[in-house]
Amino acid sequence: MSAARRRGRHTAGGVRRDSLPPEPPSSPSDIGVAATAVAGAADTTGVPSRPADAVVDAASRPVATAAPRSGTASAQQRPAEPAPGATSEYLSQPIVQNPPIVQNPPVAQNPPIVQNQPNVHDRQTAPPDAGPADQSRPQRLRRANRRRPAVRAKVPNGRVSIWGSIRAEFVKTLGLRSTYWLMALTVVFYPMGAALSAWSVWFTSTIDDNGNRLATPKPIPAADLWMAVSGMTSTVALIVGIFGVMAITSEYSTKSIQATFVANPRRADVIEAKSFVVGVLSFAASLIGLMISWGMLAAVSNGWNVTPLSGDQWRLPWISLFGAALAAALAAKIALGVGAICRATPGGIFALVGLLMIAPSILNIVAVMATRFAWINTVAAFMPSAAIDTFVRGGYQMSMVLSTGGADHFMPNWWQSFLILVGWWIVSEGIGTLAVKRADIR
Amino acid sequence: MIEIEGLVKSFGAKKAVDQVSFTALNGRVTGFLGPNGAGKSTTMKALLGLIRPDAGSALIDGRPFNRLSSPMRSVGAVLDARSAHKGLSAYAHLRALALTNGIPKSRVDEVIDLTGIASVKKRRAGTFSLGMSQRLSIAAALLGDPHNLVLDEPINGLDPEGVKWVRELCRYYAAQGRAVLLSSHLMSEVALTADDLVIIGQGRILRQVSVARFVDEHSTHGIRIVAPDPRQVHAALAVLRGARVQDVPREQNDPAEGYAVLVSGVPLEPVAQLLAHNQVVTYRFTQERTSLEDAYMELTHNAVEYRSRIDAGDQADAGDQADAATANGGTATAVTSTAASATTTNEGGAR
Repeated sequence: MSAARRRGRHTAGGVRRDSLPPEPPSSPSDIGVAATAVAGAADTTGVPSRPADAVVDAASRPVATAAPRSGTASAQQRPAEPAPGATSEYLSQPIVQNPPIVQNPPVAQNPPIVQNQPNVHDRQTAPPDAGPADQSRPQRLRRANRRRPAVRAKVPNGRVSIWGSIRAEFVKTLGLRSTYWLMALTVVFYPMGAALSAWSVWFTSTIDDNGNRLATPKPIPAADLWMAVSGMTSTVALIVGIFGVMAITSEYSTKSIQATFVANPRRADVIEAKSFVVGVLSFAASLIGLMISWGMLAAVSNGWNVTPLSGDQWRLPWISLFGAALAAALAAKIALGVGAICRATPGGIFALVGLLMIAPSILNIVAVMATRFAWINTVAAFMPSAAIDTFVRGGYQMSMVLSTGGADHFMPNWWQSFLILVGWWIVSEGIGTLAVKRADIR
Repeated sequence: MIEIEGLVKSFGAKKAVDQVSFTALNGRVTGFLGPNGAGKSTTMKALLGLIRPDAGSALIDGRPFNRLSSPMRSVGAVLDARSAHKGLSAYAHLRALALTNGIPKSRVDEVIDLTGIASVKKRRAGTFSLGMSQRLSIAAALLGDPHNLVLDEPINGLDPEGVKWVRELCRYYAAQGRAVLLSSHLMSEVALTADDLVIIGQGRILRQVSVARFVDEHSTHGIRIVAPDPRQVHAALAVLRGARVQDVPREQNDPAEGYAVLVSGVPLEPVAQLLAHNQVVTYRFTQERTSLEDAYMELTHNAVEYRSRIDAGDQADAGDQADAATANGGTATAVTSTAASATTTNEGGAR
């Protein structure tokens, strides 16, 4: 700290210098200098007993210099006469001189007890201050300062609130580099996927059913292009899912969950705030990516023969853009719940991958292999990734994809899939909150 | 004020905290001492709602921690040095904590200046050294200018200047009428900082006493005599002016028979000569200067969780200790300087 600031009466926060606690030790860049200056007693490997060395040794050092006075007494040296006191009158024989005693070094002084007395009634106005005496303050201001109460509230009143938690989570999440990486990936994946899908749609329109090239390309339904815009959503769900899992598990792995819960013991609020932040950021990043895809496809398909949307396909643009972004946000929130249940990063990510990719694969294989278990198709449709796909398609079957769902079993449509996603979110976050509330943080 | 009543917590089969009850009063620094694994951290975490106790209550200013309306203004806690997210800057970490409790940004700057980490506040907390991390934890604890301070081994990793600063901080806070609960396994540091002592071992409270009284009890020095007939000792030393002769309880290392007497207030020679002159039989005659560290070690000796299999006394050169030659019934003195303070030796070498 510069000397000028130390002489100043107020700190940046407007607090009277008088009422400040002790001056801080030197800044970390000076630590090395300070340590070696203190007779090399500091041991920065963190051995607890060592720092106390310097304290006590410093106290005893001045006294220790007086020690060797008699410590090197030779065997021949004898005290000149018997010890003082009343012993000589009781002795019938001359006293055999004791050999000289090796003098104990002076004991490190016990800490003066005076400073440990509680001074509740003696309100200390000036804290122990290692800084220079403030000579420059005029006399009258010093008198005025003394009239003020010694202890003032430095921090205005306030309380924990959900809004404060949300703001705190924003600061925490936006302060991390990994957030930006994952959001950038999200933004990039959508246009990538859109470009690939659009290319395949275009290519299919140039060939007939047997694979021969057509003279004039078939018209491309606009709905196909809208499907291309949001086609990557279930893949992006994995990316925002990792983001959601790590939002909670990284706190457990770095032990910062301790600081979080000591600042705010309402664990449910903390999880809710994280969920909100994760959802908002995933929605925003997805929306940006989707807008970019849309712009890109609109530019590319300018010269194509595109059939406009018909009938109830009017909702497709909305679902492709905002619905897909919402689906990504819900996927991130589901992942947060999974992370809260696992509370460990590898376990959380593995559970997420299992939920989004492995479980659906297994279910599909079982359904194909055993046609008796066709009802498994329904179960597969209830999984989050299938629900995302169904929802984002908005009820439109792409021209080149055949549906395999059995007619006898219930297959959710697009808005039912949305509700399934919401259900997954509620259940996952609910169980996650319970798990977090119950777990001890050791 | 911090009140802990009948706290019990087991992890599996092991009872980590067994009926711990004590109070940390306002205006005083309460030192919470114990060997590693004694249950200090568990008690503090139970106080702060991180661990749910099996039984008992832990109240801060009369309310459980979960029910405080502004936890950071009621209690500031330093539990673990490295408790900031490694990817966050120090400033972001403190700002986030401040936001949860509605603490303004100016306070964050203030606290950063207070703890001396202003030069590194924009660096990621993962790059901090132990000392810097410790200061960051202390900064987080002080954010709300709390009425109670709970510090779990706050001087780990601090250089001597930092240790002194933490000590002064604790005294300053106590002087303002706040309660400070400071845990450590170093008797010497706690004796300098604390007003009250709570010594815990293996989950149980071993002793609750004020530091003044503890120091008083254990910093006497004198001559300890173990003799078959203490009345002879009393009689022999009755003529010594200024001698204070009192019967004291036997200790672990005393010879198998005999009663212990402590003589203080007189130098060594007249006592020895008087006893020899009166032909008083003694089994042990030692000049003692007990230290706080020894008293604490003695108290927690049986309650140490993690004990090395190698006895320090078997080693030829046990650190700074030098064993003096001992004679039967003679005076055994030794020059020792351990990590904390000068201590005694008894016959038979180091403990």
